[in-house]
Amino acid sequence: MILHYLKIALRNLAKYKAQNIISIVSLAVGMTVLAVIQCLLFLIRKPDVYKEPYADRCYTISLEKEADDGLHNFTNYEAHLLLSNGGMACVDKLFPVNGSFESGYVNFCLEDSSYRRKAMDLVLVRGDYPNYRGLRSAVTGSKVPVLRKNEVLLSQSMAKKVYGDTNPVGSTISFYFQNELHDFVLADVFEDVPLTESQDHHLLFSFYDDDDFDWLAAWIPYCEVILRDGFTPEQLKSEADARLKPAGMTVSVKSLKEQGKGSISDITRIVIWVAGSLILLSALISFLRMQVQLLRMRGRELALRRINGASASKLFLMLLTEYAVTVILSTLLAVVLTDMLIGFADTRLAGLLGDWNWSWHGIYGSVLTQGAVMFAICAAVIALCLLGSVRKGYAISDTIRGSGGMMRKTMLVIQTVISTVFISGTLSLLQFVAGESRLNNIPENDRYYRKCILAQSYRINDKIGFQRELQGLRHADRIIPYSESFTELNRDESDPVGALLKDLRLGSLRNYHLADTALFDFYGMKISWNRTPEQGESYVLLSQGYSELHRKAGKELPDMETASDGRVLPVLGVYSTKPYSRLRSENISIAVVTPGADRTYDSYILVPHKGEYQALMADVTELMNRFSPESVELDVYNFRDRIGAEVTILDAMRGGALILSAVCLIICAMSLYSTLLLSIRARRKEVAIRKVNGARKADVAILFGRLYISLAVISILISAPIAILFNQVVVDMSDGDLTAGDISAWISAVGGILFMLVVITVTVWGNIRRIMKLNPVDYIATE
Amino acid sequence: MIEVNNLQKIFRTEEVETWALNDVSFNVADGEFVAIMGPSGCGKSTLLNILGLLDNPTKGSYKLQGVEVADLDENHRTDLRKGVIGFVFQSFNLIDELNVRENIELPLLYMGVPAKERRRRAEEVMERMNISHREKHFPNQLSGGQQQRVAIARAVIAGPKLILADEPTGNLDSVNGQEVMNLLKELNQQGTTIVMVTHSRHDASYANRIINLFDGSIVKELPL
Repeated sequence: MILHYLKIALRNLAKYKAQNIISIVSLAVGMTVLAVIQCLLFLIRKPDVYKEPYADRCYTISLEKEADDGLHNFTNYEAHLLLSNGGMACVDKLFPVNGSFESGYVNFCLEDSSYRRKAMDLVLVRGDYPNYRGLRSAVTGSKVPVLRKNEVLLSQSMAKKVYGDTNPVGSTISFYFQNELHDFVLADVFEDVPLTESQDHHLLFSFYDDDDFDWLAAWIPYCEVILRDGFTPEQLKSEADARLKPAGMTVSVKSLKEQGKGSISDITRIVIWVAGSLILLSALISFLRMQVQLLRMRGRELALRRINGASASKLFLMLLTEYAVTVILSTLLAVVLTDMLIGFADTRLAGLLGDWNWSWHGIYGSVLTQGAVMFAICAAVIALCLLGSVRKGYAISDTIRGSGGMMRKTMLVIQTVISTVFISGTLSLLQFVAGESRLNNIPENDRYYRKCILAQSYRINDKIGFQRELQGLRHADRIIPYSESFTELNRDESDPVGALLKDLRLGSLRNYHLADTALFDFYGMKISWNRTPEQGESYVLLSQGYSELHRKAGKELPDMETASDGRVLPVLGVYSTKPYSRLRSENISIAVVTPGADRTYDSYILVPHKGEYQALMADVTELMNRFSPESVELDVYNFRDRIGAEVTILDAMRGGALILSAVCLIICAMSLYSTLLLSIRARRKEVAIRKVNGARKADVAILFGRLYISLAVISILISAPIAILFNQVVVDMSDGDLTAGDISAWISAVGGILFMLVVITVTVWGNIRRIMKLNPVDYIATE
Repeated sequence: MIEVNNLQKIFRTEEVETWALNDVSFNVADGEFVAIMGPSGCGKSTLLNILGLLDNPTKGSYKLQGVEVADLDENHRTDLRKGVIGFVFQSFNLIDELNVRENIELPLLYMGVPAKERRRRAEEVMERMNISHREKHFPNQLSGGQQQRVAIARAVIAGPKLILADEPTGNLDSVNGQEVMNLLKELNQQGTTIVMVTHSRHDASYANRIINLFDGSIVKELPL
């Protein structure tokens, strides 16, 4: 019997080839999108490291104090003395959390006595903190050990980059701490934490015995405590307040477990999941609509089967087999597509996604679960259709005409709403991206910078040799060297400029050291000259932001400015805002131009000859390898990826929104197309009869179009408020940088609606033109 | 009413060329009842389709009410059909999604007749065809005879000058078939020209004239 069902299933698949291919592909795409979104949600969760018995009793005490210089809003070290001195009644145990880091070069000694080098963030920790934190060892799978003095922990991904597949535990690692070179022992390698908390570049090190921990050496924005049994968080806050308020500090207490749920809230997670599942929902609706319609057309077949002895359950099994085949095919396709997409993303995200494949969160689990759920929904819908007809004895076609018509129309409305909302949402996101691009000063010729290279020589000892060889690279059209340094700013409040700088919390002035104005030409920046420099004259240019600061303070621009190297140089002009700059320190800066200087630089922008980007990148990489062979990661980058990191995120956002929207639109359009095709196929005879009785193209257009236009209108009424709501969410995403004026709800809502109307009109009209070409004689022939 | 001269209809495929009609010439006067007879495949239905402006001849002349219509395009043919020609088919060709009244009103709908007037005329015709009691039923709820009466009602509602009937009793039992033929005769007596394709000698006996077709050509014309 099952073979018979399979045979019928395959014949029906072949009979309605176009519709079934559309269904299978749409379902597969929907499942793929949802699986990929699940993967991303999985990645941006925080690890549930607090599996310890005391997990529910962990709290953070955040301490804020305005320091005298107004720069810092994190705690002063005395706060920790106040808290830890003599202990707190409410606290079982107290851990300082080391928030910021010193950056430094770390030397990794390898087995063959060679070494590799990398700039890392050196995080001083109390030896027992990583163990308390629950970091898991990538070597043993248990918690990492309590660190003894002069022991370090490295992340799994960094260990792989440095040591390859060798177990590095026990290796020697050296770096400067407190101006002295120290050797440390690698105690363990900890498992990578998800995407948003990448600790790839952190080196956790212990330098003191726990009891002698030097609070002064660590920068500590908050403490983690284990609340003693029997005490409440309110009591904890009261005790901390009592100790610290007299010192002018404010205290906030938060549960660590609540904070650990994820960098995004549960609600956001649900919203993202729902948005991702809408495409699958749209595809499923399309599939169900088609199946209900087909069922109607197969009323005669089903009736004949019943006459010949088929029970309702046998009919149900027969139809179920057909749906199973479709769902299985779409599931298989989804697995392949998801695998490809995740694999592609994995290479871009440095292997972070690999483990996801095999866990129950993974591709197979996610897609198979979706397939099973869809199958269950299909079975339920068909069972309902069959049940009605069997119980009441009506022909199936009658049952479906009555209830199925409303079901089909409802499903079409839902699909159209989903697509319209997606398109409107995309328009909102595109406006967001455009606004953020303006704020980030993304230049119009952004694509040009994708073909440029940035090489940095910080780690190179022989900088002169490096610079000489760099200048000899034949694939380079031009090379623009520059260095950056900082000058301490005068933030004296009696000086109007100083007062503004203090308000902006800017402590230092960025200096760009240049040999000429080539950097400005490269960026397309304009210089307003006060006067032309004389031959060989060194001078300073001020940034537009710095100039505006003076104007705002009511002060004239200075004639002279002190560079970070101590030279006092004449100010000869003002340069416009540098592209890709959003940081205040980039917008408020100076350029120190020293023509003909015999010096090396930290950074080199290389512009290749046309079409020679890859060749130049290979040359620079080879050069860098020769001059710093010990480097774990070479300081050679695609210029735009390095300088415009935020742009990459915006690109991803723009691309993601467009892709999702296009996918949804394609699914909706294909669904409309396949439904219309089926509808037309079923009603060819009717159209032929109407044509015989005088119907023209317009009459047939009204016949088919009427339904779709009315459904489109209903969809618009539902989707417009949703689109406007989503637009407000996008505005809120910008944290106040962009307003409703920058992201217009009307453009999004109206744009989405118009788009959908065009799609519906084109799809419907295209099919009507096809049906009008049929010859009525072919359908009303005498039997 | 109808003047057909040297009508030819050739169906061409890649492999074969079929001469469905071969130099057919005849006239039908206003108010005549003509039966076209012949074996299966002789070209009867093809001839009827051409007469009904559902198809164009390959060659020859066809004048309907003095107007040459042989080479008209689809739109012109549709316009000309409206209100002039009514069709009755063997398989009824009712629209399953429309009830009896809606099926009957169909030609008036495409003539732009207002709804009130359509309803009035449909009620009149349903009364005439004795199917008023089934007004709201759907075709699959009617017997064969009732369906054919609905088809005839649809064919006459626009007051056409010409009714083309293609085996109108082919799917009916003798009682219903008799009823349908009586209706057609009645319409003819009221002045409607009828051209009917039939296999049945009995049905053909209702006509004034029989045209015999064989292999696409007229072999005999018999006045009755």
